[in-house]
Amino acid sequence: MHSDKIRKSKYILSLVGKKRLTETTVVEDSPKSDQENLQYNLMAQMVENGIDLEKELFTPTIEAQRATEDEIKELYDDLLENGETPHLLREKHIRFLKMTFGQLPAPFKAMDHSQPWIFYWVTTSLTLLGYKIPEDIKISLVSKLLGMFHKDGGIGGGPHQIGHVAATYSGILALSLIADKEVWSSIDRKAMYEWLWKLKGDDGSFAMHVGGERDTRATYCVLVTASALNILTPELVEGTAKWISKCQTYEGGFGGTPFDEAHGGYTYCAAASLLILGRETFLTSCNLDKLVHWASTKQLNLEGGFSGRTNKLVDGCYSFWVGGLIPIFDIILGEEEAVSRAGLQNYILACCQNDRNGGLRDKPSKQPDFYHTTYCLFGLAIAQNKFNINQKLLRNFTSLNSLDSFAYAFDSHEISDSIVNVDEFNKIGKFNPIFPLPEGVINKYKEYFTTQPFEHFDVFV
Amino acid sequence: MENFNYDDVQPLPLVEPNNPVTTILYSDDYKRTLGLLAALLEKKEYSERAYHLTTEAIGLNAAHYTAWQYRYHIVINLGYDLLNELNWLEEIALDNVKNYQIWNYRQLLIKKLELKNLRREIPLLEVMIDEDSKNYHVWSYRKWVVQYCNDYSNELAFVGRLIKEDVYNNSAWAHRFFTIVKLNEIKQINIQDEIDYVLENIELAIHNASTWNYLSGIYEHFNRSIIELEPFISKFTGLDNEVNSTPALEFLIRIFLVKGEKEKASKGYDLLAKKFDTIRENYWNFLKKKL
Repeated sequence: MHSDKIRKSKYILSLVGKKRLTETTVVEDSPKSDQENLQYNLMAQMVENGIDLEKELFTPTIEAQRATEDEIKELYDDLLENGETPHLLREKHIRFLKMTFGQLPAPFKAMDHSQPWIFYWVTTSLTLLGYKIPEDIKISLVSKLLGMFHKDGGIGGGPHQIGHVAATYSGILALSLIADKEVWSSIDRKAMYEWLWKLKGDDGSFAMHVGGERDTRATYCVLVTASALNILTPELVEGTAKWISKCQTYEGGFGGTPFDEAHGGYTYCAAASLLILGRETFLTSCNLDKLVHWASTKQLNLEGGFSGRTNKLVDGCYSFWVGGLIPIFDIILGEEEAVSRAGLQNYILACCQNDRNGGLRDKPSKQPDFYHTTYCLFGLAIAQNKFNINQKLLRNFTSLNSLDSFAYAFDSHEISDSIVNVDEFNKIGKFNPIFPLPEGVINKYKEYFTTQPFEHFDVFV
Repeated sequence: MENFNYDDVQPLPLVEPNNPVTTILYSDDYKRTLGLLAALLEKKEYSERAYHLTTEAIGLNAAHYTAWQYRYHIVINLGYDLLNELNWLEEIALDNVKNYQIWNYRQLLIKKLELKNLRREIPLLEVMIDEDSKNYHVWSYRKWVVQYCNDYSNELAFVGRLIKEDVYNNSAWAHRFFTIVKLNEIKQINIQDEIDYVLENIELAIHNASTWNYLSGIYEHFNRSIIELEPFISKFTGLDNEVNSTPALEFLIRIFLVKGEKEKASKGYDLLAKKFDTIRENYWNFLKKKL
């Protein structure tokens, strides 16, 4: 009873705070807002925003949404009651990720076909958290990765597995982070290029592996691989932008293939692919207004995080798959904000962290895993930084005369605290949103390959 | 595995020796099955025992794409009955609802068989969707197979039933959009009937973004002016009344914009930003500035 009263009064106080904030934000040149208040007051505002069941038809969708809102509201209410804003459990997450430095228990056989992903997730996440990966671990991981290159091209999910573009994508990115030039020079780029050609369809799409499914995921993985290794020729991507543009739906997001439902994962893949092909290609191949609308409306009122599709539930991983569009919007729309970064940060910090054993998760009722840990952390990096195009980088890469130079000019800086309050303690390393790696890593990798000869014969053209 | 002899085959190691970092502790069964499979694949052996190994491997890890690809080459090389494969696939599908390989394999088989008939596909897809009504893989496969068979005759009834069960099912609305566009390519349809259908469904649940997005999509695709929707939308929302539905107000603002009523639109964005949809305050303010 007593605590209820305290809770109520604190809650009311927070709402009063919220009103004050709303009023000040209306005034131009608003004074610097009380930093803690932005996160805290927004949270108080968010918990008021759940669905009103009386206004909704009760169906399985609403039932699931209501259950999710209930579990999240409880967490927010607890924080509000204690007058707290949540903090990043850095050391716990590092400990969770370091689990992979040893052997993985048998249930991980479910990841047997996608082992490079684990290497990529863990090394990238640890670096963003400020942990320096020991040299002997790097050497072990690199040795294993090199054993996953397949003789018929590409990187497989494990030794003896045929090349797969998702394994190749994650493997190539991991090598940029944990290997050195000597290893980089051993990558057979000509074989890679020829393999990518085998995956290409007449319509400009790509397959995940020889004989595999074709979707925007494959396109993105191929473009990142080819771009990073500097083997992205205009011939290889002829027709690709046009094919991707067909995957944008009436809702504004992209599906896996034309007419599929708009979906966070495929939307990120499509948008990032178009951007690798250049700013102009991006702008002429998609309806930007609709894309912004779609992304913005995937942010949920009470939760603050994103769902991957209309009328689906929030999931921490969409902090990246949908949230990953925010950096693109930053560079196209400039100062304007299309989503609430503060709301996103609240969701990740308050709802996605496992406070016992570390790791990040889909939602409070779910267990953490390496996948969600990585994409929640990326979401945090997005919420905490404003992205821009670095003109010096752009000139530098443009002079290399590659069609993908624009994607290498991404830069980010600390965001104004009128948009999101970033506590020093919660700060995470900067990263590249198109080649999701700690800042600067992909640039060095790409620059290295631009100095290496690449003789190719477009025998397939 | 006991019916087949693999004594002449040395299973390939799944892990690098003396490198425990990020190494999966496979069960002995897994190690042996996948190790044998890798060894036979290396030799490109297309045999009954290899076929059997792929069944075992997929049973242990249904996402093992290499096993699927190998299996496809085996059944083609040995001239196996592909209809049997389809049967087997149905059992696997029911046990693995979120899986890419099953549906890709099914596509490969259907194309090889040139099976342009939906009779086999419909019951399986119904069961799968009833199990998980927003299963992305299944909806995507369904779109592929009805296009391949060029038979859209079952689709409206199917999505109609799902929408009736859950009007918020966005996957069903996305499939409906696909169907309407394709049907219209074949033979011009009466789009007014479709619009009436959406409006009825909007009235059932006026906050439902799926139906509003669909309505918007249909108007755009068929080049109709949204101005005619103003009386309908005014039933749920307006600038002066208490706003009942955020997507309705947003739609109304779009109508204002088409009519050149910028002041009204601006007032609408203010209502959304400050009162009814505050998480998107930044977005509505951005659109207001763009006016």
